Amino acid sequence: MKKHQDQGGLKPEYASILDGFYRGLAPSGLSPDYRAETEVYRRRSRLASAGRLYESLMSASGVAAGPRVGYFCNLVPEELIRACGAVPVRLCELDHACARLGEEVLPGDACPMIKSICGSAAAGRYRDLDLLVIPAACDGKAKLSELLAPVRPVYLLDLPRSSEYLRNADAWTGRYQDFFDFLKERFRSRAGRSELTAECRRANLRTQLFRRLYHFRAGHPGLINHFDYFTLVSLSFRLEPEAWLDLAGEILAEAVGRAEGLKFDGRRILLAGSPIIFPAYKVLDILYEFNCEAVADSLCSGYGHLYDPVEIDEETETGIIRALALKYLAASLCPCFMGLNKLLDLLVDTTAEYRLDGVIYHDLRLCQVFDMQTVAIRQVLKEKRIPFLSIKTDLGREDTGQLKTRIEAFLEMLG
Amino acid sequence: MAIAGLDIGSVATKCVVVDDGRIIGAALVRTGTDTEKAATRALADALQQARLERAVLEKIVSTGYGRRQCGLADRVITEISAAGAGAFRMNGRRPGLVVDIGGQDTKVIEINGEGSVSDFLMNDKCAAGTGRFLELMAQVLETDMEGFSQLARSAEAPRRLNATCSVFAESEVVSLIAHGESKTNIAAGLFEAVASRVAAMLRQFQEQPVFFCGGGARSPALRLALERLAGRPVQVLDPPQFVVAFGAAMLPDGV
Amino acid sequence: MKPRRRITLSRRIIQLACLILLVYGGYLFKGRLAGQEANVGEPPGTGGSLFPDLKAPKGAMSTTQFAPGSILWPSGATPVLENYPPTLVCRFNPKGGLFKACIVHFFSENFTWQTHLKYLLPHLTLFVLLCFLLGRFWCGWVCPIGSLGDLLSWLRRRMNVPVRRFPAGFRNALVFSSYGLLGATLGISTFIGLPNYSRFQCYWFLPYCQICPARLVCPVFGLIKPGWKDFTNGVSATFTLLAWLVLGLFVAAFYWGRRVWCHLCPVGLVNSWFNRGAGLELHKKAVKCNKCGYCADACPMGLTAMYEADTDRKYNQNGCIMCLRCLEVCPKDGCLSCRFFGRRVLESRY
Repeated sequence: MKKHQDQGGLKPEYASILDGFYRGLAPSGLSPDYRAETEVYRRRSRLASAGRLYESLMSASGVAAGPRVGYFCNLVPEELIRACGAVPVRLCELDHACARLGEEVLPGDACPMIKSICGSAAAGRYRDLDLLVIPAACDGKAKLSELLAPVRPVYLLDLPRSSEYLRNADAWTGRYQDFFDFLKERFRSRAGRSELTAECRRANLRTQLFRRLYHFRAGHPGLINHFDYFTLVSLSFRLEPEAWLDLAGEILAEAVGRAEGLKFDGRRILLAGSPIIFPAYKVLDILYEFNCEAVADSLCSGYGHLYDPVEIDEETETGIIRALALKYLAASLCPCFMGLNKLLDLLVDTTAEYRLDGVIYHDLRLCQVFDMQTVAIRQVLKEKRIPFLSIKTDLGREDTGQLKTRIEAFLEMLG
Repeated sequence: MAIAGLDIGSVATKCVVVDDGRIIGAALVRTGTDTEKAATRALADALQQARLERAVLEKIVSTGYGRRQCGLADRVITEISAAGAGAFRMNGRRPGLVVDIGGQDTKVIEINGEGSVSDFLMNDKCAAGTGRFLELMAQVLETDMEGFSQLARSAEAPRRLNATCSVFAESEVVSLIAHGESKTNIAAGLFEAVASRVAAMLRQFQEQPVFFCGGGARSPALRLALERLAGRPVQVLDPPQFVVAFGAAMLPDGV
Repeated sequence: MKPRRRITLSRRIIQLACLILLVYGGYLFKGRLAGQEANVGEPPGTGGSLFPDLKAPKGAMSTTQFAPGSILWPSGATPVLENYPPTLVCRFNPKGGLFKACIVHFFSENFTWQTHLKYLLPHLTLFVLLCFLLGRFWCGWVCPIGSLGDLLSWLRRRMNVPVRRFPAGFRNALVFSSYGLLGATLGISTFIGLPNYSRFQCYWFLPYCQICPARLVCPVFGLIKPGWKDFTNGVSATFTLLAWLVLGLFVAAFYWGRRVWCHLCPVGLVNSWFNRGAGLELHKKAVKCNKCGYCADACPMGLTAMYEADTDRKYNQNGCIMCLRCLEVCPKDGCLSCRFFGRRVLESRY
């Protein structure tokens, strides 16, 4: 079997030492229970069809059978995994209990998402997966590819870290091609053009519906509230596109049917910054309390994940892989890849297009990158007369009071 | 009709009774653990000073960290809007930047020509560089806030400190004293450490007049340090601690 | 309306229609125009040489007679409106072709014949007018050679052969060469028009046409016996060999590299001079751009200025063949738009 250079890993000796340590951390495993939270958000929803949405969070329906490939970030093309007959499961998570366990492996001030992932891995939640795919999106993820190696086989998807199309399109295509070759070999698949085209089409159907939903929310705030929205997006991490379409289609159809004459007297803002994934809805809870809706976002776990289509220009195998590379690397919004130009353009443009009241920059201390650009964003948006609030927080709930003061004052400032 | 403004801060609860735009009664009590009790006492004290009955009050507006824990209030607003409104009323209706150094947080609030808040910045959730930090450091130097401020004013060469985290700063101060650094220089250094953080926040805004309020504004040393580091005059609003409570009382009838 | 995919679909339909019209239109319409075709010479390829009677008919240069329904009789041949839209298909397809000359042919021929400017003016006016309206629209939507090339590219894609992307330097070198080709063609044409050198006309006439891929391609489609193996003398033989070589290049360029050929084509070059001032404009709203690179990736001419642009303005580039593919693939609603004299005609919409 061809040894792939960018396959992450540890020597068996070191791996088994580390594995023993992980098994000692949470011998009885860790299975967070979110029934209470689910119930709260289900009750907050104004839609009857949201019941099924929150049920799906807890159930395993809508997930295809087959070898399961866990991956992180929106830089890993799920179409390639699906084309090879495997089931992609995006493992990005923000779970406080898992993050606390993760702190026994990682430093306390590390990114909460990486801590959460590491905690989940140590607690054995990934052991039923066949493969882990970790893109070298940030330093934390790159190191994670080694720390998770004892748990499951890891493929490190190493990508040049810049979203500059001209310079990197060929390199990205090459890396994706390698990844595809690896998957085909691993899952003994003979996937080619037709499988890839079919998967891209499935993904694009999802994009089409997502766009309609996104646009609808901006025009009819509060009907599909931001909990429903982010839950729906989080569900796309593991649901088959058809199952997701079914769920989202039902919600959108109900919402469209009830949109007539509906009034919303709150504030509509754009939420930028760190990802928001169920159950880490702390900021959304506060916004909801003050009748403020996050109707647009620039998050890698939201808009960035579903908004852009795969645009196949050349229907050759290489052409499709290149189209995927452009979608996932150039078009999407991974904060480590995305240039400040692009982020600022997006904030300015979306705020103007939907006539939003302001921008809230949610900084989960995920990594320094988020923090580093805060001042630049603040200064530019101030010049553009777009109200801007930056909030720094983490997964814990102890700073809710302070966050409320900031957010409430921001909303008071909007008048 | 009189209105009471209640500013329930993390350290002190302030109450002012305002009639026709003038403060006719003011009181300050330690908040402690029971916000409700502190609020009731502050209100009673202020009413007593104003020689008014509670029933005469048109309304009570609460603000500050404990604003929602207080059952007395008819209306709740954030301390940021309140500070903006209070400062605008107290400075003769001028736009500018309001620096509010309180017990638990430090804010810079930008108020526009109409007296409403157009932008604001707050420190992180950690208490570095807040009033609480200065109080702790006064304790480490075995003095009170007044003495602390005086120590700083007689300093020859302020000693630069590296830490603004209360825990690290304490060990740094202790080791500096052990190495024979004078308390006056350390005290001045501590004020500069706080002032430099505030100055950095000020620099995020365009150059405008700076008004200073909150408990921290009572310390002349801090004001001087801030003036030096921000490179512009800083006007202390009087009485600094009641600006927010005053603003809360003034807000209902517009600024 | 969603212009997605519809642009390419309409383009393919128009390309096909133009291909049929330009290559076979003659059979459809010639009958009606027969009365005006009095002066057309023998079809090429029938004699021993490619151009059996090269001299313009006597009096062609001074003729001012008006034919019914036409503006002028230039170079003693067919009327203007039928003859010279911006660039026309080839003289190598005189029977089936509705039109007989491309702009390079037009210039070469008349430089040699030293046609008086006033007779050329109607053609030139029409040419310039169409170019000002639509820019290099011709190349992307009409040119039959380009359409055939697109067909080759389509074959390549069906065969799962990845496209070659040539660096900008290479493309610029092609454009540079196309200036050389055009210059040489017009130079030779002028030279052989001089009284003392008219003896060269027999073999050096229309030098670019003699190596143009259309020389070998067009007659095939026009159901005419092409001058495939004209080895009358050294010059003809060289031209014939060159024509085969160029045809090979043409096929290779279209097969592997989409529209690489169009950088070298002197007809495209002349058209490209009008792109920047054309009524048909491509605009970008920079704040909406998410720098995905879809537009640059899909551009058959490999242009990147649209992708790189970060100010709102018109981005008509010389190389652009107005295929509007960029606008079609752009995933951001309203980022790219196509305007006609400032009026928004189309905009990107997913």
